[in-house]
Amino acid sequence: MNGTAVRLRGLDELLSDRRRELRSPEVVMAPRQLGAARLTRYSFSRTLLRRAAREGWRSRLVELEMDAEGRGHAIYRTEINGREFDFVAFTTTIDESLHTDRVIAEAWEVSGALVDGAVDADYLEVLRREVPRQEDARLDPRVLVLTRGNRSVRFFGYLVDRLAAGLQPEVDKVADAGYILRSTAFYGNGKFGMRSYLGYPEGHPLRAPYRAQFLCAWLFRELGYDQVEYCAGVRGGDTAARFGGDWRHYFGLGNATGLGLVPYAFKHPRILNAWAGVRELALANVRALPATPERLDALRRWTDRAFVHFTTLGGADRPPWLGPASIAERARLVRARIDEFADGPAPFEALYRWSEDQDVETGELVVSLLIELDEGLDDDLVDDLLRVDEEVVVDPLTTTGDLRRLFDERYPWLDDLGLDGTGEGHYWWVISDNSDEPRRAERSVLSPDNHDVAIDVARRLHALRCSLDELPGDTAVGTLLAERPRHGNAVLRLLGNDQPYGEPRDNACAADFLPLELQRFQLAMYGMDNFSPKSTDWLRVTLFQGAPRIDDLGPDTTDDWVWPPRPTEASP
Amino acid sequence: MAVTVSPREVVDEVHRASRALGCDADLADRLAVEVAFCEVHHGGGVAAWAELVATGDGRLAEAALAPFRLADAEVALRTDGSTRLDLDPPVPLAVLARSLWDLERRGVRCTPDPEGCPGTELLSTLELVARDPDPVAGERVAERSQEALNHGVDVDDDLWRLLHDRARAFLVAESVLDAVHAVGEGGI
Repeated sequence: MNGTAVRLRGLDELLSDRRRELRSPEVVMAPRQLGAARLTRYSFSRTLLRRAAREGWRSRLVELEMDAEGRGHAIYRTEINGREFDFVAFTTTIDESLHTDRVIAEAWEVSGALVDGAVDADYLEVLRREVPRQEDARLDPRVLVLTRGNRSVRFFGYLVDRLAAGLQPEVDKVADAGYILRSTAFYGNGKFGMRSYLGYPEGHPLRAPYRAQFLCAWLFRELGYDQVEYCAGVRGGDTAARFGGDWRHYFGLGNATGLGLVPYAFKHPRILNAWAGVRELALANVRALPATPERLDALRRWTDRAFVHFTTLGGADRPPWLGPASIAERARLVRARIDEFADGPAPFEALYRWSEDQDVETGELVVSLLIELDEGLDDDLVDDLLRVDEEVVVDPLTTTGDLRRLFDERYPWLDDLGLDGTGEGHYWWVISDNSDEPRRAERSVLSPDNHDVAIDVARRLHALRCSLDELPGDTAVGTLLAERPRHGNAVLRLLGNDQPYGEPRDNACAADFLPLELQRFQLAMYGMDNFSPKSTDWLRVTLFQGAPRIDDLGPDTTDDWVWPPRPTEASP
Repeated sequence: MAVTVSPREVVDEVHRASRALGCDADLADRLAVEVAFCEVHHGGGVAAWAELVATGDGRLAEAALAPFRLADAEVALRTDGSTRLDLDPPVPLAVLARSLWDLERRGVRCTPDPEGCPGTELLSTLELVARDPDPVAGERVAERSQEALNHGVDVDDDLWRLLHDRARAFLVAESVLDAVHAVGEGGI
């Protein structure tokens, strides 16, 4: 498939035309499958850096004013096609006891904002006042992203000590932590007065979904390096070293992720469809590719890269998921299968078929590896495909008979969720008054009393379907809603879900609902890895590990940074 | 004094505040979309919402039903070519602004014409007649929407504070959630 040729066709048409080549929604949107997803070449972190390299984006540190402990501020300026964007970060230190990944934390060691335009002295003071207030901040449309985070308690001081003494980090001290700073949120899209995402005008360089957030995240990661080197320089003077060799790239940005992702996934079916749809199109492209020595070599290289990365990362399984050691073992198995299938007529299809019979994490690892070979989707096309129209138009003359047919076509899987049984409404979703944090509460312990966040999509659809049984088939939707407005959202969902990959096959309120699965799918789309669950509801991940630093980015930048091996003693 | 807010904030705050005032999720979602659209294209959306709240007696939830009644009226319109919707008690334009625009896009002329009216304008009767869609009206609305998405929309500071305070009541105290061991940590 040629990217230019298909540019005029929308995602819906592509997914419809190629339906037989794609994995079925029943497979793709099954919770366990979503919960095994891995980053791909179309993950946001990677499309950002490819575009930045291709278009010659230039980022530089233009201001750093800090004391010996790294308290102060820094400004990073990125020039994109004649426009400037400033990432402004305010840094402080907090007592170790106040360190928490929870969104509700009231103090952060780093708070920052990505601003459309260069920040002058006056505006810097506005940001200095507002940005550290985070959810209580009042920002304006110049601000595109608001973020915050903390230092890695274990490593920040250690890294400063080492560099101050003129030494590089010790391999055995780095363990599985691949970051210096750990973020918890990248707010955007009109929150707290920031610019709405749909307000980015045509031609705006950050108009692709999440591009502003990921530029911000990449610069946040850069700040970690600069802070450590600055503090080490103050302490060590002429003796101090800078990060050298592979250590210059090894650390990414940590992230702690919680339940906020779950409502997003249930509220934006067309976005979910686009994310999964792009991945599935790419997979179908590669499965159909004939083998060439170059393609086989590339697949071997990527598989070897995964093997080395996860082997050197090391570590036991991380329930409910495999850990790095087990993933490395799976990569070894995949490598053996590549060699086995290499001489066959369709090795990529054969590898995929083999993976279908393996455990789900092996399967999704193979999907991720195969997509590295995709030649059918170019980055411009992917950006276009990911920009979706979420508006749903309800024709009030649609009949209840039409709705029944749509239920049969689009939601047969509701029958598998046990929506008439016990446990289907075990939880309800609520927003805490502390920093707008979503949480789950047990219905038997605390009554919703109209405080519930309505992401109980499956339950609402089930209720609508039951109501339809009581009505003649020629009842107009307009009449139905006038009599039973409580079905308003369910009707919108039913009519609007005209795409294959919009619905996780799950009930967010069920007793056995596992938030980690949806979270992982989204994090993989972001380009995060090193999934480390801390409970059923939140996890830590790493982003941009191995990625080029701002000084390294150039036309020669490739995707070779992904899945870096842990540096060795000889690295510097 | 005015505060500049994003259209999304109007949606979020009206939804939450309306939930806290007794509207179910379906009504509150619809109402939030209507009021936000009104604020951008007519002005007075939040003011109309606040007046409904001040009236009390369940007026907010009752008024929030108006878009659904309008959809029912459209069924008759599409069959007969015209229809009339009586709204008793009258409702402010703000609770119907988006729905009326959707009707106009589909080629329905509404009397009185909402264009140029503030969101607080009370509507007691709507005469609806089928006609051809007006493409120029679409461009005008698209431009206003883009402007608001790009630069925000100004809302009276006191009204915004009132809305925000009401919206806070939708949230549940962290201490309550901790006491019942509600789960949830982290965020992005």
